Amino acid sequence: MKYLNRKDNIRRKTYLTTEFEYIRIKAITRTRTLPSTIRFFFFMKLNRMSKNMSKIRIKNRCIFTNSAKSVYRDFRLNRSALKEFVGSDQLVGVRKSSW
Amino acid sequence: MVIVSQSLGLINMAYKERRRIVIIKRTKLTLKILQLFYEEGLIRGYSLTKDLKNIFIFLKYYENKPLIKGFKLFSNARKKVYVSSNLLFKYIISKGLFLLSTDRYGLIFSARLSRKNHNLTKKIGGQLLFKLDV
Repeated sequence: MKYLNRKDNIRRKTYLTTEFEYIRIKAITRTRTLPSTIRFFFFMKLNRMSKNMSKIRIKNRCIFTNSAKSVYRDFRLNRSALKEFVGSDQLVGVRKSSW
Repeated sequence: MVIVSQSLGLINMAYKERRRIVIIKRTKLTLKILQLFYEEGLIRGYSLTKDLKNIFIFLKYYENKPLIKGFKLFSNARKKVYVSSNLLFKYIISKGLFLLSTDRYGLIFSARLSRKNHNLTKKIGGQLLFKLDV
């Protein structure tokens, strides 16, 4: 499971560098005023690009349990990991309470 | 004890981000624990900040991997866990590296404790603080 966390990190880095290029090519394919030959050329170019450049592929993952489900953005922790850390006072400024 | 567990959590997070330096709050207990860590060779060192309220810890890595993998806390502010001499030397000491607060020696690592009491003549018990995964 550690491998998936590393993979996600690589995707974030590629997205940062190629975000502008990806959006630019995508915008050309969507504009209807341009001639269809140019649009088709850029559409083929878009197909050839790696899917890892898109934002959709990025997924938030827990840094301790590596799971992708119910991850809290503030802590980057899974719900089970968060409960464990809060229960043993390991997070600063967070404490258990109920009302 | 709350500040100790919070600073352990901060160290844990800093290792995940591969940081070199962490800043934690200064208390008597944290200073004592850091001195023990330094003597054992688990950190590169520590120093006080200018206003003397916080401490810098310089973390240690071996072949780009953190020396300390994690902590497991036994005692916290609400609940203190004590172990008797019998239980300590029969079962617990062989399970890993623990930090204890004993009546005879004060704060001490379990590995040091077994060296001092190798023939099991002294009765030593105390509060079990946390376990280190090294």
